[in-house]
Amino acid sequence: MLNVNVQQFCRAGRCLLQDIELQFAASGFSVILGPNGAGKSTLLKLIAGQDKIEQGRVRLDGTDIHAIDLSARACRLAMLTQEHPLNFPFSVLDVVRMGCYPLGLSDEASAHKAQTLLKQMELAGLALRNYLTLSGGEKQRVQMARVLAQLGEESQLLLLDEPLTGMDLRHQHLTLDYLRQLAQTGLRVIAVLHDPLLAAQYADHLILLKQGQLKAEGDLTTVWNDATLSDLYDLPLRVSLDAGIPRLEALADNLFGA
Amino acid sequence: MMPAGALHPRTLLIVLLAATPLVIWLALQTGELVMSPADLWTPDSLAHQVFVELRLPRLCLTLLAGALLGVTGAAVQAMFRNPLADPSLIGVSAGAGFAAVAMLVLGDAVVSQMGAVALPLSAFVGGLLATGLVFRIGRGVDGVSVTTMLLVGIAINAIAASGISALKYFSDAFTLRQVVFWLMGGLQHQGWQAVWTLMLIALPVLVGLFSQGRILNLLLLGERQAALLGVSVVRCHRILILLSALGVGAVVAVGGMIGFVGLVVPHLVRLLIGPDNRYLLPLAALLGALFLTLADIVARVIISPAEMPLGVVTALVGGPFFLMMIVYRRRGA
Repeated sequence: MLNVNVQQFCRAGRCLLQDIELQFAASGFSVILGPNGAGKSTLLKLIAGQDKIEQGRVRLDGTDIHAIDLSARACRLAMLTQEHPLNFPFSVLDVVRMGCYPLGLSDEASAHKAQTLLKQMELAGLALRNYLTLSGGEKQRVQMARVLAQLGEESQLLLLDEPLTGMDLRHQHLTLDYLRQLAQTGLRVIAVLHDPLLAAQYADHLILLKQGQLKAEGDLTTVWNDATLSDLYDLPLRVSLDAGIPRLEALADNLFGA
Repeated sequence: MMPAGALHPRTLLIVLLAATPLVIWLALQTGELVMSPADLWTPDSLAHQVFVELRLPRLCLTLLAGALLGVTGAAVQAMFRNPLADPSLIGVSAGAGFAAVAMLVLGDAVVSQMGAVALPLSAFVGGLLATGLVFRIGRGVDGVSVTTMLLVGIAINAIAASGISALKYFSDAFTLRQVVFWLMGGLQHQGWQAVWTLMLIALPVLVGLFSQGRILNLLLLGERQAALLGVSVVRCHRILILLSALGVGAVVAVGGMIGFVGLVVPHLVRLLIGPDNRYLLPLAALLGALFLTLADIVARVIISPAEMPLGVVTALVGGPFFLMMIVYRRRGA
């Protein structure tokens, strides 16, 4: 059970988030949607306890996230960040194995786990390659596998900041499908995505952020309508939900009111 | 880019361990006086005296100093997330050197009070300040950028150099000579006392840094990423800065400015076995010990019967190596 309450969060004189009140049940797949600079990544950082909130609190099972010490937190919460500054030539396998660190696995166990996840992300053939020589999408999949390697018995939260960056269509769907499966096994997945259609296809809970404020949240029946989404992106959109299949179309003809 | 490292760490360890007796034997043999094993068992012979009072302590010093320079270089590179970091380039050695010269020139009273500890201690403080400064100023989201790091290094080196010049100007002829030779870097005028001092510092520094290998790997993922894996990043940086400054300070206090070892040695090890710090740190210490001992042998024979300062030899090897690395990086980018 995760409670997020941000009355106000400001940095460098700018208010990045305000009046956000969210509750998450133990399992499920939430997606945060919103335009650039809406505060999506900031919200994830706050949930992960990577920044202190002056007014507000993030509680995991009733305990303030900052009261959980770093190593215990790493066992309960895993997060994929947007940037990956690694610039030393580790092998792909070694990068993924680093994810196992908080779990204290033996060398064999971590190697086995990493191999399994590489297979899951369709990277098995690259295990011994130099990470730095991979393409952007491949690097992203490796980092994804590394974060998945951090999941163990105590894991409750998986936070993902734009996990699909650089991935081809197949791997976007493969990743989301895997996340949806994970979210059915007692794990709360919260991801920032840029594609509302993908979010609607896979997530069971959408959070709409704009200019640091919560515009709407809930399942498709609450947020999947023309007005809400057009307003979110400042773009005329036509959406529909035929027999449970979400569709979305940008009305490009009268985009800028010509 | 560099390959991920083809050689198994164990293979490199075996090769280096096999080379160790050879290097030691060579170091003990090099010099004007040719000795036979039999001489060593004759306590009153000249050979025995030369062995015990000159060559053996010198060997111990080059091994210890080399190990310290190798391992601190590797640790600083991981902490800065930058393979071009080296204590001498970023101004740590200069900071330590400046503090040590200040102690030599101004600290007569302190030296007489504290004895042999005064010099390493002041070098440590100088090194600590310099490391802290470079790290504070140069650190960004993506680690410490090469440009910022080198620029801050230039600034600190310049400040330290002018400080040292000023101190030289005010010192008497005897101290001046002492300072000049000490700055060139060398381990030839030291005895057993220096060996014990260096060993006392080397042991905790080596053990402490070796134990950080896995954490250093995680830091390479990025500071945020490491924190998310449960690493207490700030505490970790403190430990690393403290141990590195202690190691570099000790070497500078005993041997003056010996540059580039911390750059060349970890880089070679990384090329051979890859960047995993669990193996890199101990192997950089071992290769550093052998490398500096070999450099000291070269320093002894190259212009025999005179001696080249050790710092000059390491800079002659390391300078071009550093240039090559920069060219290589530019081509790779």
